[in-house]
Amino acid sequence: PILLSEFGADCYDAYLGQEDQNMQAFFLQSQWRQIYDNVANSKKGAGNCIGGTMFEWTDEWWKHSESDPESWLVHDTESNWTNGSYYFDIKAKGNKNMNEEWFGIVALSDTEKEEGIDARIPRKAYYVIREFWKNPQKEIKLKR
Amino acid sequence: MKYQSATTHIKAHFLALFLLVSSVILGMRALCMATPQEAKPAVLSKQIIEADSGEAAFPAFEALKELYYSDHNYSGFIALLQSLNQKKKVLAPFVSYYTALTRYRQLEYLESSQDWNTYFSNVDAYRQQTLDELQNTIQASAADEPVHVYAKLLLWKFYRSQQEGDQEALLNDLMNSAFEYAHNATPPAPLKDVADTLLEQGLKSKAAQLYREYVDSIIAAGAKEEELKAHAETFYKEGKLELSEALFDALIEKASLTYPKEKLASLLTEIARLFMYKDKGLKDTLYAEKVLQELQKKVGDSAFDETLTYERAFNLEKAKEYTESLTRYTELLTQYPETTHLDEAMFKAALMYAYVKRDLVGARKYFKLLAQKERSSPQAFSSSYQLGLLAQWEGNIEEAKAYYNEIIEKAKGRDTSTVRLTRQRLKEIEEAKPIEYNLKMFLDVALKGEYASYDMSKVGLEASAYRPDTNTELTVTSNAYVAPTGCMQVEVEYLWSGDTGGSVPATTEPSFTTSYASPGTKEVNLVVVSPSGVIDRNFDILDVR
Repeated sequence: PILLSEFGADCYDAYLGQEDQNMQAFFLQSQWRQIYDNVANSKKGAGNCIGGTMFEWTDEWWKHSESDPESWLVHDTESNWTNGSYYFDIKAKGNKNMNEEWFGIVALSDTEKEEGIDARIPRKAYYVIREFWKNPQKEIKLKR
Repeated sequence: MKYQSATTHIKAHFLALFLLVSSVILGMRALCMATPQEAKPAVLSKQIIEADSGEAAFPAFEALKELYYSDHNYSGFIALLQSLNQKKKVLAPFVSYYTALTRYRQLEYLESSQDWNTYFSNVDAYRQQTLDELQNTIQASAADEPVHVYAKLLLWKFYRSQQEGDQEALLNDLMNSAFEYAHNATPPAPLKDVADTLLEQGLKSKAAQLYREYVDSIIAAGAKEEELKAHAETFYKEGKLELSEALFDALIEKASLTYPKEKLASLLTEIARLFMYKDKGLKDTLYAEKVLQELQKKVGDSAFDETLTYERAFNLEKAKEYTESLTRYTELLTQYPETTHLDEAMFKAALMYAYVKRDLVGARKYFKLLAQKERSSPQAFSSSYQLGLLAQWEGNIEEAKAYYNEIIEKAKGRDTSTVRLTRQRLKEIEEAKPIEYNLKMFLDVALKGEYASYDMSKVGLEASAYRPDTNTELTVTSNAYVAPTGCMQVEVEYLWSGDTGGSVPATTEPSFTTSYASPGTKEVNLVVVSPSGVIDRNFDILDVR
C-alpha cells in the first residue's frame, strides 16, 4: 500500500506577488481527492492508497533563510525553487514559485496571541478540506 | 360651578389641541431629521413602484443597489427586493436579476474578506439562489430587454468564475443574446457593458465584435463623422482602446465614402499617429499599422512623406515586426536618400538583416555605407564595431582589428559604450581568446544555419523606454517560455550581451536596470538557455538621445 507522506501547496502567488488562498485550496482539494479516489474499495482508482500526511498545518517563518534568525520574525515571500506542477505562478521571476514559508493551511497572526503563541488563522484551504471530509464524493466548487 | 366646569372644559380642549399640534410638529420634525441615508431607500423604492416600466425603474434599482452594497448589506437588499416584488408583480424579472446579482456579489465579498466560516456555511445556498434567479429573469424577460442581456452576462460570469459548465456554449449564448439585442433594441449601453466585461476577461476578439455592434448602434442612430471622431477620442482618452478602435474603424469606413482623398489621408494619418509607439502614453502599434495599411490602400504611396515613412518603420520595429520594419526602413532609404533619419535607418536595417534575416550580405552593405561616411555619427561608429565583430566571429582577425583600431583612432579619446566594447574585443584578440561567451552564443544562435529554427518567438524583450535621454534609468525585461517541468527544478540562464549601458546583468537576472551615458542606437542581446539547451534568442534596439 502507498502512503503519501508529504504533499501540499503553498498559498503565495510568486508571479503576482500576493497571497492566493484560492490557489492553495484548489491544489489541496485536488491532492486529497486523488488520495481518496485511490483508497481501498474505491472504484475510481488503484485501491492501494492508505492516505497521506499533508504539508503542512501552519506556516513556518524560519524556512526561507534558516541560518538568519532575524528573518524568522519576517514572513518572507521570496522563493528559491521552482515546480512547474504548480502552474498558476510558474511565470514568477526565474520561475521560482515555491514559497516555503506559505505552506500552512493556517496562517500565523503577527499581532494576536492565543494562549501565549501566535494566533492561528485558518485559511480557505482549511475550510475546503473540512468540507471535503464531510462528503468526499462532492466536488467543492472553487474559483480559479 | 357651571362656570368652573366650562373653564375646565375649555382647558381640556385646549390641552387636547396643544397635544395634537405638538405631536404633528414633533412628527414632522422627526421626518425632517431622518438622515438622507434613511430616507433614500424609501424614496428610491417609491420611484420603482411608480415607474411606468421596468426600464424606467432601472436607475432607481441601480441607485438602491449601490446604497446597500456600500454597506455590504446584501441580505438587507434582498429583503427589500422581495417586498418590492410583493407590491408590483411586473417588476419580477428585475427583482430576480438583482437578487441573483446580490448573492453573486455577496459571495465575492465573503471571499475577498476571507470570512470563510460564513462563506462555507452559505455558499451552496447562495450559489443555487443565484442560478435560480437568473433563470427566472431570463424566462420572464424578452430578448430586447436590457435585463435579459445582463442576466445572460451574469450567468456566463458565474460559470466562468467557477470554471464549470460548458464555457463555450454559455459564451455563444451570451453573444447571441447580445447580437439579438443589438438588432432589435435600444439603448446600446448593454452592448458596451457586455463588451467591457469580455475585455476584462481577456476575450478581446469577442469584445471587439460587440464593440462593433455598439458602434453600429451609434451609427444607426445617425452619428456623423465628427460625432464618431469625438466618441472615439473620448474612449481613447479613457484608455478604452478596443472601443476607440472600433469607433475609428467605423469613422474610417464612413469617411472613405464621403471625404475627398486629401481629407481622408489627413484623418488616417492622424488616427495612426494616435496609436503609434510612444514611450509614454497609450499605444497600439499593430492597430496603427492597420490604419496605415488602409491609408496605403485608399490613398496610395503618395500619402507617405518622409516623416510618415520613418514613423511607420519605427512603429513596426517597436511592434517587433522586424521583417516588415526592415521593408519600411529600406523604403525610406530608397525614396528619401537624404532623410534626416539616414544613419538610424541604415544601422537598424543592417541589424535586422544580420540578426533577424541572417543575411550578412545585406547587413554588411548598410554597415559599410555608414562606416565609410566622413561624418562619424554614433551609428557610424557602431557600424564599424559591428563589421569588426562579424569579422571576428568569422575568424577574420586582421579585418576585425582594422575596424576596431579605426574606431579607437576616430574616437579621439572619447569613452563611449561603443569604444568600451571595442576595447573588450581588441583585448580578446590580443590575448588570443574567443569572443566573450554570452556574445558568442548570441552570434551563433542568430547567424548559424543550425539554429535557423529559432525565430525569437520563445524569448521576449521589453524596455521601459525606447527613446531615453542619456543618463536616464530604464529597465529591460525578458520573458522566456519554459515548458512545465513537474517536480524538477530547472535553472535557466540569461546570457545578456551587446550594449547594456552601465549595467552588467548576471546570468540569473531575467531583467536589469541601466542607463546610457552616450547617445546613439544601442543593441541589447539575449540568449536564454536551460540545461537541455538553447531556448531562444532575441534582441532589442534603443535610441538614446
